[in-house]
Amino acid sequence: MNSRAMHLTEAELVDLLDGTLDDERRRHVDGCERCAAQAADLIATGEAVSDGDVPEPSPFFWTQLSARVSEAVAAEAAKPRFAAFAWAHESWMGGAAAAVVLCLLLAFSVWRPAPSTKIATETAATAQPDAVGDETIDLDSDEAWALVRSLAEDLDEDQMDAEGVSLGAGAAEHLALHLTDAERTELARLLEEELRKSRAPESAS
Amino acid sequence: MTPAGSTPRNDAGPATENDAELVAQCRAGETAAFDVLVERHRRQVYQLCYRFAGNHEDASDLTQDTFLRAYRALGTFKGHSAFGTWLYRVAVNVCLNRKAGKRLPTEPIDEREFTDRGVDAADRQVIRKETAAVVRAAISQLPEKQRATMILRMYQELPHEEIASILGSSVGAVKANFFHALANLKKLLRESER
Repeated sequence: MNSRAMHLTEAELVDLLDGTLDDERRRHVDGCERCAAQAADLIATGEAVSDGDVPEPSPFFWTQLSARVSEAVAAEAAKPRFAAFAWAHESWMGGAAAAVVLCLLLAFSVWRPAPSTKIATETAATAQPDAVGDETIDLDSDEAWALVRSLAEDLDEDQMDAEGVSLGAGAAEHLALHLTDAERTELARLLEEELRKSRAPESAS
Repeated sequence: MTPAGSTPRNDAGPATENDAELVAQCRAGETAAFDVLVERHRRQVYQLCYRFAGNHEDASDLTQDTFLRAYRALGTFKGHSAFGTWLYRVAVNVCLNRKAGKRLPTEPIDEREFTDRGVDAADRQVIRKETAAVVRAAISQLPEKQRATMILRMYQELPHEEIASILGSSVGAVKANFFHALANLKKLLRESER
Protein backbone atom coordinates (compact mmCIF):
# COMPACT_ATOMS: atom_id res chain seq x y z
CA MET A 1 0.00 0.00 0.00
CA ASN A 2 1.56 3.32 -0.98
CA SER A 3 1.50 6.32 1.33
CA ARG A 4 -1.23 8.03 -0.67
CA ALA A 5 -3.61 5.12 -0.13
CA MET A 6 -3.03 5.07 3.64
CA HIS A 7 -5.40 6.95 5.92
CA LEU A 8 -4.05 10.01 7.67
CA THR A 9 -2.35 9.44 11.00
CA GLU A 10 -3.23 11.54 14.05
CA ALA A 11 -0.16 13.70 13.48
CA GLU A 12 -1.06 14.19 9.82
CA LEU A 13 -4.59 15.22 10.75
CA VAL A 14 -3.08 17.83 13.07
CA ASP A 15 -0.79 18.95 10.22
CA LEU A 16 -3.86 19.27 8.01
CA LEU A 17 -5.47 21.46 10.65
CA ASP A 18 -2.30 23.57 10.78
CA GLY A 19 -2.12 23.77 6.99
CA THR A 20 1.26 22.08 6.89
CA LEU A 21 0.27 18.71 5.41
CA ASP A 22 2.11 17.98 2.17
CA ASP A 23 0.22 18.07 -1.12
CA GLU A 24 0.27 14.34 -1.80
CA ARG A 25 -1.36 13.53 1.54
CA ARG A 26 -3.79 16.38 1.09
CA ARG A 27 -4.91 14.82 -2.21
CA HIS A 28 -5.63 11.63 -0.27
CA VAL A 29 -8.09 13.53 1.92
CA ASP A 30 -9.89 14.82 -1.17
CA GLY A 31 -10.60 11.26 -2.25
CA CYS A 32 -11.13 9.61 1.16
CA GLU A 33 -14.46 10.01 2.89
CA ARG A 34 -13.18 8.72 6.22
CA CYS A 35 -10.22 11.10 6.44
CA ALA A 36 -12.30 14.03 5.14
CA ALA A 37 -14.92 13.36 7.84
CA GLN A 38 -12.26 13.13 10.55
CA ALA A 39 -10.65 16.34 9.35
CA ALA A 40 -14.01 18.15 9.26
CA ASP A 41 -14.69 16.96 12.81
CA LEU A 42 -11.37 18.25 14.07
CA ILE A 43 -11.79 21.58 12.34
CA ALA A 44 -15.30 22.01 13.77
CA THR A 45 -14.14 21.20 17.31
CA GLY A 46 -11.15 23.49 16.91
CA GLU A 47 -13.47 26.32 15.90
CA ALA A 48 -15.85 25.58 18.76
CA VAL A 49 -13.14 25.75 21.40
CA SER A 50 -11.27 28.68 19.88
CA ASP A 51 -13.71 31.03 21.56
CA GLY A 52 -12.48 30.35 25.08
CA ASP A 53 -11.56 33.87 26.12
CA VAL A 54 -10.26 34.44 29.63
CA PRO A 55 -12.32 37.07 31.47
CA GLU A 56 -10.40 40.32 31.71
CA PRO A 57 -9.66 41.18 35.35
CA SER A 58 -10.16 44.70 36.65
CA PRO A 59 -7.54 47.25 35.59
CA PHE A 60 -6.46 47.56 39.23
CA PHE A 61 -5.56 43.89 39.28
CA TRP A 62 -2.48 44.37 37.11
CA THR A 63 -1.12 47.10 39.36
CA GLN A 64 -1.78 45.00 42.45
CA LEU A 65 -0.19 41.95 40.88
CA SER A 66 2.94 43.86 39.91
CA ALA A 67 3.16 45.34 43.40
CA ARG A 68 2.81 41.92 45.03
CA VAL A 69 5.46 40.38 42.79
CA SER A 70 7.78 43.34 43.31
CA GLU A 71 7.38 43.02 47.08
CA ALA A 72 8.04 39.28 46.99
CA VAL A 73 11.09 39.77 44.76
CA ALA A 74 12.47 42.48 47.05
CA ALA A 75 12.02 40.14 50.03
CA GLU A 76 13.74 37.37 48.07
CA ALA A 77 16.63 39.63 47.12
CA ALA A 78 17.09 40.63 50.76
CA LYS A 79 17.20 37.02 51.99
CA PRO A 80 20.56 35.72 53.21
CA ARG A 81 21.49 32.87 50.98
CA PHE A 82 22.29 29.37 52.09
CA ALA A 83 26.09 29.19 52.05
CA ALA A 84 26.38 26.11 49.87
CA PHE A 85 23.65 27.39 47.57
CA ALA A 86 25.57 30.63 47.09
CA TRP A 87 28.91 29.08 46.25
CA ALA A 88 27.35 26.55 43.93
CA HIS A 89 25.90 29.46 41.97
CA GLU A 90 28.93 31.69 42.12
CA SER A 91 31.35 29.08 40.93
CA TRP A 92 31.20 27.58 37.47
CA MET A 93 29.87 24.07 37.80
CA GLY A 94 32.07 21.80 35.74
CA GLY A 95 30.77 19.03 33.51
CA ALA A 96 31.92 16.36 35.94
CA ALA A 97 30.03 18.00 38.79
CA ALA A 98 26.93 18.33 36.63
CA ALA A 99 27.16 14.65 35.78
CA VAL A 100 27.39 13.77 39.47
CA VAL A 101 24.35 15.89 40.26
CA LEU A 102 22.41 14.32 37.41
CA CYS A 103 23.35 10.80 38.50
CA LEU A 104 22.30 11.49 42.08
CA LEU A 105 18.99 13.00 41.02
CA LEU A 106 18.27 10.11 38.68
CA ALA A 107 19.31 7.61 41.33
CA PHE A 108 17.01 9.25 43.85
CA SER A 109 14.14 9.23 41.41
CA VAL A 110 14.34 5.45 40.99
CA TRP A 111 16.01 4.42 44.25
CA ARG A 112 15.33 5.73 47.69
CA PRO A 113 17.30 5.08 50.88
CA ALA A 114 16.20 2.08 52.93
CA PRO A 115 13.45 3.46 55.12
CA SER A 116 14.15 3.69 58.80
CA THR A 117 11.14 3.57 61.08
CA LYS A 118 11.12 7.35 61.20
CA ILE A 119 11.29 7.71 57.43
CA ALA A 120 8.63 5.06 56.92
CA THR A 121 6.28 6.98 59.18
CA GLU A 122 6.98 10.23 57.42
CA THR A 123 6.50 8.62 54.02
CA ALA A 124 3.13 7.29 55.07
CA ALA A 125 2.13 10.75 56.19
CA THR A 126 3.34 12.54 53.07
CA ALA A 127 1.87 9.86 50.80
CA GLN A 128 -1.59 11.16 51.63
CA PRO A 129 -2.76 13.18 48.64
CA ASP A 130 -4.22 15.81 50.95
CA ALA A 131 -0.94 16.22 52.76
CA VAL A 132 0.84 16.89 49.47
CA GLY A 133 -1.93 19.14 48.29
CA ASP A 134 -1.79 21.22 51.43
CA GLU A 135 1.95 21.53 50.88
CA THR A 136 2.91 20.49 54.38
CA ILE A 137 6.45 20.50 52.98
CA ASP A 138 7.40 24.14 52.69
CA LEU A 139 9.81 23.81 49.80
CA ASP A 140 10.33 27.53 49.53
CA SER A 141 11.85 27.83 52.98
CA ASP A 142 13.68 24.53 52.99
CA GLU A 143 17.36 25.42 52.58
CA ALA A 144 18.47 21.87 51.86
CA TRP A 145 15.91 21.67 49.11
CA ALA A 146 16.92 25.06 47.74
CA LEU A 147 20.35 23.58 47.01
CA VAL A 148 18.91 20.50 45.28
CA ARG A 149 16.54 22.58 43.21
CA SER A 150 19.14 25.11 42.16
CA LEU A 151 21.58 22.41 41.10
CA ALA A 152 18.91 20.58 39.15
CA GLU A 153 18.03 23.84 37.41
CA ASP A 154 21.69 24.44 36.60
CA LEU A 155 21.91 21.26 34.58
CA ASP A 156 22.33 22.11 30.93
CA GLU A 157 19.22 20.70 29.27
CA ASP A 158 20.71 20.82 25.79
CA GLN A 159 23.68 18.82 26.99
CA MET A 160 21.37 16.36 28.76
CA ASP A 161 19.22 15.99 25.65
CA ALA A 162 22.34 15.40 23.60
CA GLU A 163 23.33 12.66 26.01
CA GLY A 164 19.86 11.17 25.65
CA VAL A 165 19.01 11.78 29.30
CA SER A 166 16.17 13.91 30.53
CA LEU A 167 14.66 14.51 33.92
CA GLY A 168 11.65 16.12 32.28
CA ALA A 169 10.09 19.46 33.03
CA GLY A 170 9.67 20.16 36.76
CA ALA A 171 11.37 16.91 37.70
CA ALA A 172 13.08 18.44 40.72
CA GLU A 173 9.81 19.79 42.11
CA HIS A 174 8.03 16.53 41.31
CA LEU A 175 10.77 14.58 43.08
CA ALA A 176 10.53 16.88 46.09
CA LEU A 177 6.89 16.03 46.61
CA HIS A 178 7.76 12.36 46.78
CA LEU A 179 10.70 12.62 49.18
CA THR A 180 10.46 12.87 52.93
CA ASP A 181 12.25 15.63 54.83
CA ALA A 182 14.96 13.17 55.83
CA GLU A 183 15.43 11.98 52.24
CA ARG A 184 15.59 15.51 50.92
CA THR A 185 18.22 16.46 53.47
CA GLU A 186 20.21 13.33 52.64
CA LEU A 187 20.06 14.10 48.91
CA ALA A 188 21.24 17.64 49.56
CA ARG A 189 24.09 16.34 51.73
CA LEU A 190 25.21 13.90 49.03
CA LEU A 191 25.05 16.57 46.33
CA GLU A 192 27.02 19.01 48.43
CA GLU A 193 29.63 16.40 49.24
CA GLU A 194 30.00 15.32 45.60
CA LEU A 195 30.17 18.89 44.38
CA ARG A 196 32.90 19.73 46.89
CA LYS A 197 34.86 16.73 45.68
CA SER A 198 34.45 17.63 42.01
CA ARG A 199 35.25 21.25 42.73
CA ALA A 200 38.48 20.49 44.53
CA PRO A 201 40.53 19.64 41.40
CA GLU A 202 39.24 22.81 39.67
CA SER A 203 40.35 24.92 42.62
CA ALA A 204 43.72 23.22 42.67
CA SER A 205 44.37 23.80 38.97
CA MET B 1 4.79 36.61 25.95
CA THR B 2 5.24 35.22 22.52
CA PRO B 3 7.03 32.37 20.87
CA ALA B 4 10.63 32.96 19.86
CA GLY B 5 10.91 34.89 16.68
CA SER B 6 7.57 36.68 16.81
CA THR B 7 6.94 40.24 17.86
CA PRO B 8 6.53 40.60 21.63
CA ARG B 9 3.17 41.97 22.66
CA ASN B 10 4.00 44.36 25.45
CA ASP B 11 1.38 45.72 27.77
CA ALA B 12 3.94 47.77 29.61
CA GLY B 13 5.13 50.79 27.87
CA PRO B 14 8.18 52.88 27.79
CA ALA B 15 10.98 50.37 28.55
CA THR B 16 13.04 49.97 25.43
CA GLU B 17 15.46 47.29 26.59
CA ASN B 18 14.82 43.84 25.21
CA ASP B 19 14.16 40.95 27.56
CA ALA B 20 17.73 39.66 27.44
CA GLU B 21 19.07 43.06 28.49
CA LEU B 22 16.57 43.23 31.34
CA VAL B 23 17.54 39.75 32.49
CA ALA B 24 21.19 40.84 32.52
CA GLN B 25 20.27 43.87 34.61
CA CYS B 26 18.36 41.65 37.06
CA ARG B 27 21.39 39.42 37.41
CA ALA B 28 23.45 42.49 38.18
CA GLY B 29 21.13 43.14 41.11
CA GLU B 30 18.72 45.66 39.58
CA THR B 31 15.40 44.30 40.79
CA ALA B 32 13.61 47.19 39.04
CA ALA B 33 14.46 45.52 35.73
CA PHE B 34 12.43 42.52 36.83
CA ASP B 35 9.44 44.82 37.39
CA VAL B 36 9.60 45.69 33.70
CA LEU B 37 9.70 42.02 32.74
CA VAL B 38 6.66 41.42 34.96
CA GLU B 39 4.74 44.25 33.33
CA ARG B 40 5.67 43.00 29.91
CA HIS B 41 4.62 39.39 30.44
CA ARG B 42 2.04 39.47 33.24
CA ARG B 43 -1.05 39.35 31.04
CA GLN B 44 0.10 36.36 29.03
CA VAL B 45 1.23 34.49 32.15
CA TYR B 46 -2.05 35.26 33.91
CA GLN B 47 -4.08 34.04 30.94
CA LEU B 48 -2.07 30.83 30.79
CA CYS B 49 -2.54 30.29 34.54
CA TYR B 50 -6.25 31.08 34.30
CA ARG B 51 -6.70 28.42 31.65
CA PHE B 52 -5.07 25.89 33.96
CA ALA B 53 -6.77 27.06 37.14
CA GLY B 54 -10.20 27.98 35.83
CA ASN B 55 -10.71 30.82 38.31
CA HIS B 56 -9.29 34.24 39.01
CA GLU B 57 -8.10 33.70 42.59
CA ASP B 58 -5.92 30.71 41.81
CA ALA B 59 -4.76 32.19 38.51
CA SER B 60 -3.61 35.25 40.42
CA ASP B 61 -1.67 33.13 42.95
CA LEU B 62 -0.15 30.97 40.22
CA THR B 63 0.92 34.06 38.27
CA GLN B 64 2.63 35.53 41.32
CA ASP B 65 4.27 32.19 42.06
CA THR B 66 5.48 31.91 38.45
CA PHE B 67 7.23 35.26 38.56
CA LEU B 68 8.78 34.60 41.95
CA ARG B 69 10.11 31.23 40.82
CA ALA B 70 11.34 32.76 37.58
CA TYR B 71 13.20 35.42 39.56
CA ARG B 72 14.82 32.77 41.75
CA ALA B 73 15.84 30.77 38.70
CA LEU B 74 17.06 33.69 36.56
CA GLY B 75 20.62 32.48 37.06
CA THR B 76 19.73 29.34 35.14
CA PHE B 77 18.24 31.15 32.13
CA LYS B 78 20.84 30.54 29.45
CA GLY B 79 19.18 32.55 26.69
CA HIS B 80 18.91 29.51 24.40
CA SER B 81 15.25 30.35 23.93
CA ALA B 82 13.30 33.58 24.23
CA PHE B 83 12.70 34.73 27.80
CA GLY B 84 8.95 34.43 27.17
CA THR B 85 9.28 30.78 26.19
CA TRP B 86 11.36 30.07 29.27
CA LEU B 87 8.79 31.87 31.41
CA TYR B 88 6.05 29.71 29.87
CA ARG B 89 7.98 26.66 30.95
CA VAL B 90 8.17 27.97 34.51
CA ALA B 91 4.45 28.81 34.45
CA VAL B 92 3.44 25.40 33.10
CA ASN B 93 5.53 23.68 35.77
CA VAL B 94 4.02 25.82 38.50
CA CYS B 95 0.49 25.09 37.21
CA LEU B 96 1.05 21.36 36.77
CA ASN B 97 2.73 21.00 40.16
CA ARG B 98 -0.08 22.87 41.87
CA LYS B 99 -2.68 20.88 39.99
CA ALA B 100 -0.96 17.65 40.95
CA GLY B 101 -1.35 18.64 44.58
CA LYS B 102 -4.91 19.75 44.62
CA ARG B 103 -7.74 20.12 42.18
CA LEU B 104 -8.52 23.76 41.76
CA PRO B 105 -12.19 24.68 41.53
CA THR B 106 -13.38 26.19 38.27
CA GLU B 107 -15.57 29.24 38.50
CA PRO B 108 -19.23 28.20 38.58
CA ILE B 109 -21.21 28.90 35.45
CA ASP B 110 -24.17 31.06 36.31
CA GLU B 111 -27.29 28.92 35.80
CA ARG B 112 -29.30 31.98 34.91
CA GLU B 113 -27.13 32.41 31.84
CA PHE B 114 -28.46 29.14 30.51
CA THR B 115 -32.11 30.06 30.36
CA ASP B 116 -33.42 29.67 26.86
CA ARG B 117 -33.93 32.93 25.08
CA GLY B 118 -33.88 34.40 21.62
CA VAL B 119 -30.60 35.31 20.01
CA ASP B 120 -30.71 39.05 19.55
CA ALA B 121 -27.79 41.42 19.41
CA ALA B 122 -28.02 42.26 23.09
CA ASP B 123 -27.59 38.64 24.09
CA ARG B 124 -24.60 37.91 21.91
CA GLN B 125 -22.10 39.00 24.50
CA VAL B 126 -23.73 36.82 27.16
CA ILE B 127 -23.81 33.83 24.84
CA ARG B 128 -20.15 34.35 24.01
CA LYS B 129 -19.34 34.36 27.72
CA GLU B 130 -21.41 31.21 28.24
CA THR B 131 -19.61 29.44 25.42
CA ALA B 132 -16.20 30.46 26.76
CA ALA B 133 -17.13 29.21 30.24
CA VAL B 134 -18.37 25.87 28.88
CA VAL B 135 -15.20 25.46 26.82
CA ARG B 136 -12.97 26.28 29.82
CA ALA B 137 -14.89 23.79 31.96
CA ALA B 138 -14.46 21.11 29.30
CA ILE B 139 -10.73 21.82 28.99
CA SER B 140 -10.34 21.52 32.75
CA GLN B 141 -11.56 17.92 32.49
CA LEU B 142 -8.87 16.87 30.02
CA PRO B 143 -5.94 14.75 31.18
CA GLU B 144 -2.94 16.87 32.25
CA LYS B 145 -0.76 16.62 29.12
CA GLN B 146 -3.70 17.03 26.75
CA ARG B 147 -4.86 20.08 28.69
CA ALA B 148 -1.39 21.64 28.68
CA THR B 149 -0.97 20.94 24.96
CA MET B 150 -4.40 22.34 24.10
CA ILE B 151 -3.79 25.54 26.09
CA LEU B 152 -0.33 26.13 24.69
CA ARG B 153 -1.33 25.35 21.10
CA MET B 154 -4.82 26.74 20.77
CA TYR B 155 -4.64 29.81 22.99
CA GLN B 156 -0.99 30.70 23.34
CA GLU B 157 -0.44 29.69 19.71
CA LEU B 158 2.94 28.12 20.32
CA PRO B 159 4.43 25.87 17.63
CA HIS B 160 4.48 22.15 18.36
CA GLU B 161 8.28 22.17 18.69
CA GLU B 162 8.13 24.78 21.44
CA ILE B 163 5.36 22.94 23.26
CA ALA B 164 7.44 19.77 23.10
CA SER B 165 10.34 21.64 24.67
CA ILE B 166 8.15 23.09 27.43
CA LEU B 167 6.47 19.78 28.27
CA GLY B 168 9.59 17.68 27.87
CA SER B 169 8.07 15.45 25.21
CA SER B 170 8.48 14.79 21.49
CA VAL B 171 6.78 16.71 18.69
CA GLY B 172 4.94 13.51 17.74
CA ALA B 173 3.60 13.17 21.29
CA VAL B 174 2.48 16.80 21.26
CA LYS B 175 0.56 16.28 18.02
CA ALA B 176 -1.00 13.09 19.35
CA ASN B 177 -2.01 14.86 22.57
CA PHE B 178 -3.50 17.71 20.58
CA PHE B 179 -5.48 15.29 18.41
CA HIS B 180 -6.84 13.40 21.43
CA ALA B 181 -7.55 16.65 23.28
CA LEU B 182 -9.75 17.80 20.40
CA ALA B 183 -11.47 14.41 20.18
CA ASN B 184 -12.15 14.43 23.94
CA LEU B 185 -13.35 18.02 23.86
CA LYS B 186 -15.85 17.13 21.17
CA LYS B 187 -17.33 14.48 23.48
CA LEU B 188 -17.28 16.76 26.52
CA LEU B 189 -18.96 19.61 24.68
CA ARG B 190 -21.65 17.26 23.39
CA GLU B 191 -22.31 16.04 26.93
CA SER B 192 -22.56 19.60 28.19
CA GLU B 193 -25.25 20.33 25.58
CA ARG B 194 -27.52 17.63 27.00
